Amino acid sequence: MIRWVRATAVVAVATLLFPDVSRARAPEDLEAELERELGTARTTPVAAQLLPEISLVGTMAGAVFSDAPSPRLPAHEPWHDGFSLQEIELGFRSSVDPYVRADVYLALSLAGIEVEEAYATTLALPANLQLRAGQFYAPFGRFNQLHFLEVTPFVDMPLVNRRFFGGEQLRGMGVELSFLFPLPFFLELRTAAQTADNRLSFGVPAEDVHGAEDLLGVARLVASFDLGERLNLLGGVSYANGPNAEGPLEARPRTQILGADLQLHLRDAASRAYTALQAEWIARRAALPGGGVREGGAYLWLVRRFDAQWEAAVRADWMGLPQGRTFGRPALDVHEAHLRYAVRRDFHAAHDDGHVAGAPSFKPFGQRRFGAAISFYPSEFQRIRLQANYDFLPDERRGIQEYFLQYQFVIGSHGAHVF
Amino acid sequence: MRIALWTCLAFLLAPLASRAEVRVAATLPSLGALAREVVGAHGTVEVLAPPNQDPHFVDGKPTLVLRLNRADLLVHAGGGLEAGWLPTLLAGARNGGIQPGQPGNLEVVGLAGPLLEVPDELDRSLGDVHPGGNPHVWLDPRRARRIVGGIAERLAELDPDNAEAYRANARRFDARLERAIAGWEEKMRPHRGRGLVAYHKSLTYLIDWLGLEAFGTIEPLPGIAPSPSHLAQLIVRMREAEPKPIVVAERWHNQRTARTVAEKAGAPLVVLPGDVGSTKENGDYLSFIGDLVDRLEKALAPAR
Repeated sequence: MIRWVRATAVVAVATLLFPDVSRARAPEDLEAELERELGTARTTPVAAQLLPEISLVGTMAGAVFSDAPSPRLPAHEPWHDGFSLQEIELGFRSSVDPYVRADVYLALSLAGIEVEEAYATTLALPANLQLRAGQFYAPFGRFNQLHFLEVTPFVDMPLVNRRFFGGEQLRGMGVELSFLFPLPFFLELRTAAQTADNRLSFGVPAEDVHGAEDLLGVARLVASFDLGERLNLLGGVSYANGPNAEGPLEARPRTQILGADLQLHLRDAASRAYTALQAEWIARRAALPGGGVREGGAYLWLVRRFDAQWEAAVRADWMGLPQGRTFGRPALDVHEAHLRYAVRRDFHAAHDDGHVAGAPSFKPFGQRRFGAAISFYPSEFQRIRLQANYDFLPDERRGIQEYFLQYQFVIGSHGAHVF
Repeated sequence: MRIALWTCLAFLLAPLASRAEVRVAATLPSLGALAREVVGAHGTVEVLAPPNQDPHFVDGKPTLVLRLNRADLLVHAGGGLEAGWLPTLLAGARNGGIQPGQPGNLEVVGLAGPLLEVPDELDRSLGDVHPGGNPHVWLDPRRARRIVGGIAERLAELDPDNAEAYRANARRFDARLERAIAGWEEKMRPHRGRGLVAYHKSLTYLIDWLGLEAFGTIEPLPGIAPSPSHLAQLIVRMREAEPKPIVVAERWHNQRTARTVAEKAGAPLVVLPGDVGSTKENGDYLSFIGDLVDRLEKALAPAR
């Protein structure tokens, strides 16, 4: 009897002293028991399942330039000595309903917030068709459709893309219709009509659109083949046609851009390692008041992913394929004295008053660049990258050394890798 | 006369109509192999992931979109396993029937019974954890039996004309699998409780089924590369253990690290070949699991 009383007292004291432990144990044990017997798995709470996939990618860089850097847009690329926040990308992805999914990417920078992309995509249209509507990167070429900070092996953009489309790449509000051909190999046609407010090659802001001719039309045909289990070949041709901002509103001259791209991707057997070669050529022909300009450029990069942690890449950039040529007497020299920063000035001026006198962003100037980068991934969610460029401006007879150290982290859901 | 003609025509066309085969796309070779057993002669099964690559890191090649475009049923592990490559392909497939939530989308982790290693806490400081639990369920053939049943039921729903055939195929395979499981369990019975050091937590269900002990992993946390200090601790623990645990790595893991750990700890190393179809001998699910069991048994036996 006394023993029983003593035992009860001990239990009572223990319960008083450690109430949480005694209370928490029982339901946990029971839960495990129920799981075993009934086969019920613990599931994520319903509210959490209904949230879209959310990810946040922070990218920052430190840069050193040996001389005044060649024109870079103050957007996403490091363009001055010292530290810069390249971008905080906030991504939301989810099914809207069984028929449509939505993807939204907001870019936060020290200058503010910008809608990088925000579009809805149909999932179940008949006849292999797909519609996409919203703000999106134009289906032009390979690089232009990428969120380059997250998925390319370099800190900066290829020269030709930056010169023709700018730091924000070629994008706009619009609609895309694409078609997957029912063939034994992959062949896809994408066509889009978008606002043409890209300030470097086009230039009608959304509020000035009065008809279809004020929009940018883009088409891309892309094919892909597997050459064995490990090697994949992907090739595409693209075309864009839209009004540029030069001259009076009634007689708006047009810019046409043609592109071709190629990717070879060789995966190592039973390994994360791969080797990929990517090349892209883009040529632009712009009609301007008094004449026109033609110019082209290309880049080629080679990336070697050694394993889960290390990657190395080299890139060569050329402007002058074909060599810049003017027709007639287009007004290009307004900012001649400040050519080095012409593109940036144009960008700001265009934002300030809508139109720019003269078209410095169309003025051809030769440039070549060679870059090499090495990246280290401590885990799937972090990246440290070191890159060196040699930038050569033949017209100015000078070369610039550029060094970047970049850091990137990913939190939230793990988005799909781009192939 | 006219009725007779129509009847003849109907009989002539009937085989054409019934030849409308069901098309299954499976993300992983094992899941494809299980689906193949159920589908039998009533359709085709295409697999997206190659058998010798880590299922987390499959290249989302555009060519794979084609296989999804024409599929009536998509069988995927789910639970976040294919999150790095499947969503983009699925969005580009232009196939409403296999989108998440549709009858043509079958997530295997939902069929395979309660998942193991459901994290109590979700944070990336714990590595690349799967919120719903470990999704590598297909390596436990007891769970594969449930998966086969689930595939049969879903195919029966999608293709009611052949429902009985799918169920019969599943029953036949289930009986074969049941016998095989008894044989494998018998073979591995002497090794119950033996320690196994896996590279990644991808062998959890195999360990659970065979009653082995998860002694540790070469990765300190899922998806985190091993540090020297973690490896040193692991090796010291392994040296002290008796009987010695075995080291098991899949082909796509860092073989040098796995070999070093095994050598320094004086433990045997087993390299698993990949998934179904990775060698000439493991072309279907039964031979694949049989192969895994043989390799483990061979490594465990001499040290006994």
